[in-house]
Amino acid sequence: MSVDVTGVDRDTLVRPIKTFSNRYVAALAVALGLIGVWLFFYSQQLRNGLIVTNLADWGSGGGVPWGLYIGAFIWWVGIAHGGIILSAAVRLLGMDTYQPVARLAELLTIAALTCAGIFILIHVGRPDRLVTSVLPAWPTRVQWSPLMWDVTVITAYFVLTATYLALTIRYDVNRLRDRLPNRLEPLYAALTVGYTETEDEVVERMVWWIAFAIIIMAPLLLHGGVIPWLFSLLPSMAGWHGGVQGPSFLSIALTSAVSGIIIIAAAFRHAYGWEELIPRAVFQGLAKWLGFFSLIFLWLQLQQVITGIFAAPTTLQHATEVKISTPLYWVAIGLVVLAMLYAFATALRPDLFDIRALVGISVGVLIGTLTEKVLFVVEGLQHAHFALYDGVPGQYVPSPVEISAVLGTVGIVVLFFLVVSKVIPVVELHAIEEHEEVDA
Amino acid sequence: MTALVPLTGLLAAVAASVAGLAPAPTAAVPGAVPLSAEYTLPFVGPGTYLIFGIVLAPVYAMVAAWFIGDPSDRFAGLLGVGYLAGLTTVLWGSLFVATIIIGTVFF
Amino acid sequence: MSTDDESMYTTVDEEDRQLLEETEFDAELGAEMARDAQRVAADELSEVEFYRRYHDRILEEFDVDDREIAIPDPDEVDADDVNAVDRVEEAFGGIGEALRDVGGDDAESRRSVMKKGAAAAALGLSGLGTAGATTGGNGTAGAGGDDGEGTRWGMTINLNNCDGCLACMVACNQEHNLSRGANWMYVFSFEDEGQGDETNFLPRTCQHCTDSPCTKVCPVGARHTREEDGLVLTDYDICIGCRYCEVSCPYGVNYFQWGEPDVPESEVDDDHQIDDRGRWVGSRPPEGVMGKCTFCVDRQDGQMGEDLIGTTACEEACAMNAIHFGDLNDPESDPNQHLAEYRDGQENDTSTYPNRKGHTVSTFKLMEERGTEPNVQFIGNEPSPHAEQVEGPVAYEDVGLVDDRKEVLDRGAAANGGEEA
Repeated sequence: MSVDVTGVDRDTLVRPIKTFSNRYVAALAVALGLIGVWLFFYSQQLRNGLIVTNLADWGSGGGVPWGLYIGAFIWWVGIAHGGIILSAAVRLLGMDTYQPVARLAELLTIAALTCAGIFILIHVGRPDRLVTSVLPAWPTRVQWSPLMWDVTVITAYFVLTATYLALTIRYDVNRLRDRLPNRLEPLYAALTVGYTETEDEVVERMVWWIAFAIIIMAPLLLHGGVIPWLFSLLPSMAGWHGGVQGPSFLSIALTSAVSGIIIIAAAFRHAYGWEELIPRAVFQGLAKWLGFFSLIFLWLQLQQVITGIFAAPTTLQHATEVKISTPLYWVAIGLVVLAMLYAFATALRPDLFDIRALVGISVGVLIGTLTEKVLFVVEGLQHAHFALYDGVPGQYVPSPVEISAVLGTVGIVVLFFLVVSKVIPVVELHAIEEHEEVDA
Repeated sequence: MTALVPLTGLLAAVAASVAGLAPAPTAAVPGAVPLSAEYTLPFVGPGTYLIFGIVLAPVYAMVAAWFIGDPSDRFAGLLGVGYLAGLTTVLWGSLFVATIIIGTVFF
Repeated sequence: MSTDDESMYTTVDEEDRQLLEETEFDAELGAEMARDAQRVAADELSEVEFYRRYHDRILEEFDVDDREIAIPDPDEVDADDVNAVDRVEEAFGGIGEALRDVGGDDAESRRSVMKKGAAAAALGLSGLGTAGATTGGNGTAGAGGDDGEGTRWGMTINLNNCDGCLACMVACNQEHNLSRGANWMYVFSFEDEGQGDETNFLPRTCQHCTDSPCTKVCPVGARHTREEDGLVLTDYDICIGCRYCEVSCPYGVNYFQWGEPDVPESEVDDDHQIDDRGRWVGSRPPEGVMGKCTFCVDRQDGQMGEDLIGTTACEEACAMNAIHFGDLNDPESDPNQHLAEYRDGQENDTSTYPNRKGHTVSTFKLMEERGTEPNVQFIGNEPSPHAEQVEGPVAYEDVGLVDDRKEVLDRGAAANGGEEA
């Protein structure tokens, strides 16, 4: 399934930078609107405290202390994995088909990790202390607190991805300099500081190593490690326990990640007429990956359900029974099943394939994975090993304040892409020109 | 065989501390229970091994490869390290500014 | 590894005690050390630096051999040493201190003044810093003289005596100025399988676990175990309110202060809030941080009078003799004595079956299989997994308490946070 897009010219590549349309302004307005709605609600939360959310306390208080904020945090980190899957596929495995969307995926990683960070900031009761408490405590607390491991690894993931981008962008900016806007000259000068063509080979090897480091660290040790450990290492909640949480979290992350890339790539293809640059075959390939990851996701859910109900300890059995009797859980599972069936169906019958349908399916998957994550957090907290508290069960429905944060972060990602696509080429020059063909 | 002894000792220590199964021979004797578990002491937690030994190992390999091996270049390597350090500072620095603003306006 | 750690605790404790007994040292040196000890308590001076500064002069003043053990050379402190934490903080402390000072509000600066006062007051005993045995330790643990391990506060709660009157909850809420629905002490009324409609009670405080998950998981070290007596406390000045302690606790004793506390800061005395190390750990939490039972840390520090050391508000209020608080390391303490006496009163028939234990009393610790090593033990029957909470003989509303805090919070949320919670 090799795809050749080397016929596409450089002007096509910089089209987002060169054009300015009403649709762009409309998208900008929508993004700013979403962010505005969230900021309005968030300022209320800052003024009055977290009491404006529907969170409460498990135990005698009746409720859940972690809810949509934490669910959305995990969800965004999961989406962030798109960047590394695509880059790894291109750089480590030589799957050049995906080169046209590799940088979009890397940018999605940066944006999604930023949103994950925002959810941590707005989740805590004293955001003003976040830096002043965390940094001094880091040397001693990283020894013990899974939350501190999490902060450490996400910082590393963010920095590695940004370094990856910063190094690869030098090549493109240098060669496309004549097509980039002059008023941003200082920025481009900074980005390409000390650039010589002799570095290309060296940098190529450096970014291979970054991709190598991230592919081990981010999927396996962050989303399949530190994040599920936030829950599975605790002695308190039945539904959170077990080694299956690592693989399970990872499968959900990868499913969300591919969906995220499909949506972003389709949006750029549509907006800038990039049918040649991001051909249909890229989406057909991504659809197969989506189907495969969905299958793994569903398989791991099956593992949890069957081990949780057959002859499980009382508290785990109870937690699992509650989980499978929650209609929303089946909505989430259903959305992923749909994606898997669609992917496999279009693999068998390519004429059924349609990019718009795939985008719709991907949006469904993202809704499904967010739902699953929030349910995991909330239902886990509602069914502790210490079952006496069932006398005061608290219901949890996310408040408008919390829901607005999800919308706000979506707005931030849209805004991020709108701004970045006006500054740097969001598709690598390598996608359209073989390495050796390029000369300045 | 003897060379393996320190290694197995370390592995046992890691396993014990990760699982929270560190031997506490005195715990069974009433009146001799320590006031707090060992984890209040620094440099003995599972995170030490987990984060610096396992999770960040690929990053060590990456940075080493930037300077060793072929083709490599001192300037490019330092540029990479500069990006790592600079971006970490920018990330936490900007978060710091954000929290300061929140702090002054709302707390 | 664990043996080494314990010997280190012992060494520090014993040597502190020896130092305290040596009252006739050079007055000038004493005055200087006192001043710097205050700075240690106020975090202006690291403990290691403090040791370094006086090491030589103390060598002159006291028996050389003793001091060699007492004051570890900071350069030779090994990684397992309790003081190693200071070395880390020394390395990063400059930044840390600067960061913590940023955005400090008025209340905090008032508190730092308070810290110095507290340090001066406690100088005679704990001036040498956090590792020393302090007020409570001398009063109670010394009396037992059994093990020399220092104080380990804990409880024996006799469920057979509890009648569910909720007096303990009321007393606790009043003493600690808790917001409505935030119950540090909580009394479960429950029915269990095979016991008909008989109602059982389970008063639940914080278990002050020796291996507390909440302390392990706290990302910023706000939730900590006080070395001198094993109390598990929250530093309200450091806590960021991430609620990870609450999520990790198997007992559900933690809660978050979602809105403004019902009792404002101005009405709470510093005596109740600042402990003998100068840390803000007592009374109700301010908005945005975590709260839970402190085993009346203000009482244990002697802030409410020497008589109340070794007591708690709930114990004092309990007319049924169900709650027994004291030093679990001391065989003569109330919790240990009560258990011993109760066992003596229910002798087992060992004439026919000589291998049976001497009594028929059932005791348990809550969810001991979770590995938390709780410091609260119960006399009576542990609720089974099928136990169900029921209405007790005294309704929470009748004694001015709120059972379901969610209702209070929901009202607060509906009123857009205008209401207190």
